Amino acid sequence: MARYIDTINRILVREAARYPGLLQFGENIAQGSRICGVARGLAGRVLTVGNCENTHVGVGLGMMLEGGQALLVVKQLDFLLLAADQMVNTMNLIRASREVSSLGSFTILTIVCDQGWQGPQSSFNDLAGLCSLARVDGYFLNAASDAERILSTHLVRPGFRLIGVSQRRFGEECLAAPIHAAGENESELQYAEGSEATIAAFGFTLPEALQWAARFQGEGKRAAVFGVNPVVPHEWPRLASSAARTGRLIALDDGKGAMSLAHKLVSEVLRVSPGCHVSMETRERHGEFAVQEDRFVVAAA
Amino acid sequence: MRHAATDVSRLEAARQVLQVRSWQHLFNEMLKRAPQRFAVPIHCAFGHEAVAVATRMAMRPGDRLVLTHRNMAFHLAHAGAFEPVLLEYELNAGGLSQGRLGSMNMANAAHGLVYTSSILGNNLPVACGIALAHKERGSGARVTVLTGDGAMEEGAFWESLVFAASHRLNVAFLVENNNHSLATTIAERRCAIDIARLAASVNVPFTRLEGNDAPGYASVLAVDGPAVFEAMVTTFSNHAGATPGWATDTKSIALAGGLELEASDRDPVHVARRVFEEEEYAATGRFLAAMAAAVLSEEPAAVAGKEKI
Repeated sequence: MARYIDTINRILVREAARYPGLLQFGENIAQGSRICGVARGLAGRVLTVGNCENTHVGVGLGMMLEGGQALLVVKQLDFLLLAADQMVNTMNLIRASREVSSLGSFTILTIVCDQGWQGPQSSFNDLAGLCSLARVDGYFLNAASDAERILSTHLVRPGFRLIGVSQRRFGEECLAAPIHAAGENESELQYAEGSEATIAAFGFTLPEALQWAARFQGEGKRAAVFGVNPVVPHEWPRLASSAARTGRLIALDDGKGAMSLAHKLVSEVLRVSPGCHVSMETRERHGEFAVQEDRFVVAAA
Repeated sequence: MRHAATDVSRLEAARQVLQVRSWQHLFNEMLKRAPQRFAVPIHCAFGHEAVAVATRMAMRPGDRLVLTHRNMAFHLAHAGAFEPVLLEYELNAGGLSQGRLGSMNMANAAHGLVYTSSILGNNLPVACGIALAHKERGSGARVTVLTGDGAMEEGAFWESLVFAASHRLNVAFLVENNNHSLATTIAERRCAIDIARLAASVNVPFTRLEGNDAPGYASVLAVDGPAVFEAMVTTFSNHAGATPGWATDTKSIALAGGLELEASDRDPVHVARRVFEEEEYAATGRFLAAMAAAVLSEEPAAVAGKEKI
């Protein structure tokens, strides 16, 4: 069995090795478990740094300004809240003054602590919300297929982005989930075709989305399945037209933010297709904010 | 008495100090006459001229300077021109940053002034990143980052200092200590910070700059980092526009009164005047008066011309 974490790590190490000038830095990046195994085997320029996330992000952006290539590996997404100033304010300034093509590359690859036992203070999992705040691209690695595609395309390219990996998936078998089609900049990835329903998987909910699709198939129906990434601008035309065609949209989102990007998708679908039947499965709807209820559970279909 | 080898730099530095002061007077007169003239807030920096000129003198091709919101003197000194700064304040495409960044984020990439932040402490990590990028490529570039006695209270100062020391980055932290954070003095808001001991605790050399000797400052600044400098500065102008309670409110500063604001070494123009005197410029007083008169004669034209843009 190829575990999720091992698969992500293998692809990351391979892709990072393509860029000899890539500075890979982070706390414990070359010590101990190598950040829960994510960074194990990274070679080339690897720099262990102290505990100062705000500075790490500012450093990455400063390197990017000078044309450098930087990869910051972060143990927990909530650490990056300390760097909100750099992510939001510095990026606003860079965006106003520089063409993306003139910049180097800065990527943050972060573990999202969504395994359910982190405690109430370190369970922030809203990667999409953070990306939205900073208006930068974000990517969720759900399966081997999207890890291959996203890391080979976006690990090093001009500009700044965040890539998330799910800690609750670490020990699970990594999904293969071949990609049938993709939107611009991997904003939407389609994993299954279908005419009876459209399932949109936000965050790390692709496994649940595929389970729903399998359940539909058991009933003789076929559902289209999409993974959604918070890529700017937040538009998912393939997904929206699929929902218009099938007349039924099921949006899954495991993010804890009160205003999920799923809301934006739903409002856009309903604007174009007022008759579309919409079902949203979010933490907010199910009130899953207590520590004991931290795991994301999809309600019965 | 003449100082053969250093005459040019001393005199040129003094001339630049006067030039920057005169241009700041122009902006101040514009602000006094029409406070709403600019859509962006303007932070005059009367008293910062020596530090600004010194950073220009210390910079080599490829070096970088990272600034803060109080950057007027620095941009005037490094651009060596008034109009591009004025046009940037007017958000005109002919401005120093193509009219896209305004006053508090103004950059001048062509001269190495690549990043300016309006947020206290924000520019320090970015400067470390710029320095790290140059270290990675082995360019040898020196990065100087401006901060202040208020901004250094932010955690980013300590984080960046530790980061720079840990990775031996060629970055100089230049703290302009004007004893103020907006209208609050250091004693009113916090305990004293011994920056020398702070820097020493992470094995980074520290130097205090006092006396507004621009060439002297420049020779001290022209060393590879990491390093920390504390420049003792008297800010004669206020935060942005008139600030009640400020000792020398901008409104009380008048171009007609001459370039010099205080007959002490706290005023860089006073120090520059002495350079001319030492260089046996018998007519120093007349020189300064003539400079002020020239600025006065330029000002109406400059104002009138820009109002047409």
